[in-house]
This record gives sequence, C-alpha cells and structure tokens, in this order.
Amino acid sequence: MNCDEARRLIAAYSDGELDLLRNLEVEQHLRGCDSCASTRENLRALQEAAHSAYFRAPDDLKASVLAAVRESDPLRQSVAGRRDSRPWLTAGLALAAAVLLGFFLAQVLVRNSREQTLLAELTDSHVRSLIGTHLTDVISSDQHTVRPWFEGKLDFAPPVADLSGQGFPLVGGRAEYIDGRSVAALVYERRKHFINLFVWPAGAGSQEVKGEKPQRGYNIVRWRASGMRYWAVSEIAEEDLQKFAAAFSEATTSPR
Amino acid sequence: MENETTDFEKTILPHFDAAYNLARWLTGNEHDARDMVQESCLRAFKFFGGFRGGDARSWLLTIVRNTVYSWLQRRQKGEHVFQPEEEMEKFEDVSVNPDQIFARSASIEAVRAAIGQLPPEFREAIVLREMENYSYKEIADITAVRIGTVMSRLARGRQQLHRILSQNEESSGGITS
Repeated sequence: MNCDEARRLIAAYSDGELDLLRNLEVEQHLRGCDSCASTRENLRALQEAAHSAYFRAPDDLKASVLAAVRESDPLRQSVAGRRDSRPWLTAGLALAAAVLLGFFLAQVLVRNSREQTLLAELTDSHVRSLIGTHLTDVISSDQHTVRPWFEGKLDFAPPVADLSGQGFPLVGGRAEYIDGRSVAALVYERRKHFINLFVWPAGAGSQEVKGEKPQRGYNIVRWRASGMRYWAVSEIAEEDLQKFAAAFSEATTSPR
Repeated sequence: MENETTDFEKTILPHFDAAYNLARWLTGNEHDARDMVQESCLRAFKFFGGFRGGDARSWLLTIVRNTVYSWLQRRQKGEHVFQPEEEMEKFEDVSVNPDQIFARSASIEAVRAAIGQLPPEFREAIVLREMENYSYKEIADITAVRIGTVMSRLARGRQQLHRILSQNEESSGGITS
C-alpha cells in the first residue's frame, strides 16, 4: 500500500470502518511511514479533542423532564386522582377519532381540489391551443418525427402512435406546462375537431380509461398505462374520445 | 400503568446525556437545549407504544433531531436550516495534514468554540461520530442521508475543525511571542 492509498483510508481506519484485510494493510503501512503515522496521530488527537467537548446533561434536567413526562401521562394522572379514569379515556378516544376523521376529510378535500385544478388547467391548455396559433410545435403525421422532437424538451419520452387507420390522424405535438411540470401534448384530429392528449410520467400501475365530468363543454378521459398518465381533452363526443383512448392504448402497448 | 412509565424511564434514562449533548450542539445554547430535551422526551413518551425494542439511543436521538430541526424551522421561517450542500459521494482526500498536533494542546473551550463554528450538518456528523461513537451506517440512518454523504461531511467537518484550531493556535502563539 502506498501513501496515497493509505491517506485515503486513514479516516475509515480510525473510525473502525475497514474490513480486516484493509485494516491490516493500513496498519502495516503506518508502521513503516512516519508521514502517514503522523497524519493518523493528528486525526486521533482531533477525535479525542472532539470527544472531550461532550456536554453532560445538567443534574436538575433529568428530574424536571421526568416530572413533565409523568404529568403528561393521562393514565397515571387519573390513577393518582379519583377512580373515574373511564370518562377521561372515552373522551380522549372520541377526540382522537374526531381528529383522525377530520384529517382524512381534509385529505379528500385537498385531493379533490387538486384534481379540479388539474382538469381546469388541461381544459385551458386545450382551448388555448385551438384559439391561438400554437396548436403544435412540430407538425407531422409521422410518429417517427414527432417522438424524437420531444427529446431534449422533456425529461421523459412519451409514446407516440399515428392512429390514421382508426380515424384519428396524428397532427403533431407540443410541449406544455401543466401541474407544475413539463408535459407532452400530442394533437390528433377527428373530422375537423382536435384532440389534445396530455402525457406525463406516473408511478407504476395502470388505470382503466375513465371519463371525467365535462369541463365547459369539453370532454375529458383519463387513463394510466406503462408508467404514463394520459389525459385526452376534446369537443368530440365522449364515446368517440373513449374510442380514441382505446385505440391509442392498443397501439402503444401492443408488441411491435 | 405505573409500569409503562417505568419501562419508558428505563429505556431513555441511559441515553439522557446523549439526548442533551445532541440538543446542545444543534441549538447552540443550554437554555434551548433544555427545552428541546424536554419536548423530545414528551414526544418519545407519546410514541413509546410504537417503539419495538432495538437501539433506544438511536430512536431517542432521531426524535431529538427531528424536534430540534422543526423548532429551528419554525423559528427561522423562510431561511433554511441547512446550507445547500453538494453531495460528494466520492471520498476525496481531505485528511488532516501532518503538521503540528494542535488539537492536543487546545482547551475544551477552544474545541467547543471550533465545533460550534461548523455548519450544522458537519457538526451533527462530528457529534454522532466522535462523541456517540456511531458507525457511518448508523449516522446515515439517523440523519437520513447516504453513507457517502456521511463520510464526506465527516471529512470536511474534521478538516474545518483542524483549520480553525490551527488558526487559533497561530494567533495566540503570535500574541505570546
């Protein structure tokens, strides 16, 4: 073992973190090398100094903390007091249950309002893409053009499929910012109407195609498959949108 | 019911000094450390039903650490407690240089002042390693970072400590000569 290696291992050696073989190697090197041995001595001195800086708890603290703990103990209090510990306990449990229920309700409410915000964002994005000039960043009916276009614009690669055969030709795609992240928007056409398909990564697991409540007259369907979350927004009938979702899922999950 | 408190006391009392020491180093003063130890012990008592054996000291110190950090965050709202730190997974050579052994001659006050000057994440690693004798893995568990991060914090903490103590030595040497 040379000095460079030894020096890199001296801390782990002093901390007792090396395996037996390495430990012996370092030990052997230290016996023959004054410079490394003195580095080791310095470190040891520093460790001892730090150890001596330990603060012991003040004597009175233990007693006062234990008193506070005992005081906080409802069971002990009721035993020390009268024998009517039951009403106390029942009231405590009821309170705990109420708090728990409130907590879950709050969670459901928060989740619902998040979903609502997301639906509004998606609808906004769809409407914006139709009234402005910014329907697509890349115009192509070729999935092999659209898919690579997203590279470098997003931190994930959305599946892209042309569905002309199923009556939903691919028009193009653009990058969008939804729910605090960059997402892919794929644009499809259905008899002069457009479908925006928003895609971004989700955790594992899948979810059947499901229709959402229409937003300002636009239909929305959602699903999850192979690590991606999909939201399709369009003015076409929900039935057609469901068909689109099914066609897209089939095209992107069937073996190539 | 009496027994529960007794069990609790039996579990935490051996680690009372450790709890105080960590709180003292993380808060920087005795007054807040006392409050934090009390609050931590009350919390520990509340959660004691969920403690299923294992290392009681680590369990208690984790509670102390969480208690202190949430208190610090409440206090310095907006500012974050930790400096953003680049995680250095690679263990670089920041071993203490083989010049003079300063630490040996330094007084406890000087050493305490020097440790107090370290950034909190380095200070915490030094306290858990040098004072509580925890392994890298245990420190990683308590502080919820990777072992590589523990190693780099320790190395940098020790290096800074050495530098501060050397500077002290030089300046005080300059005055006496």
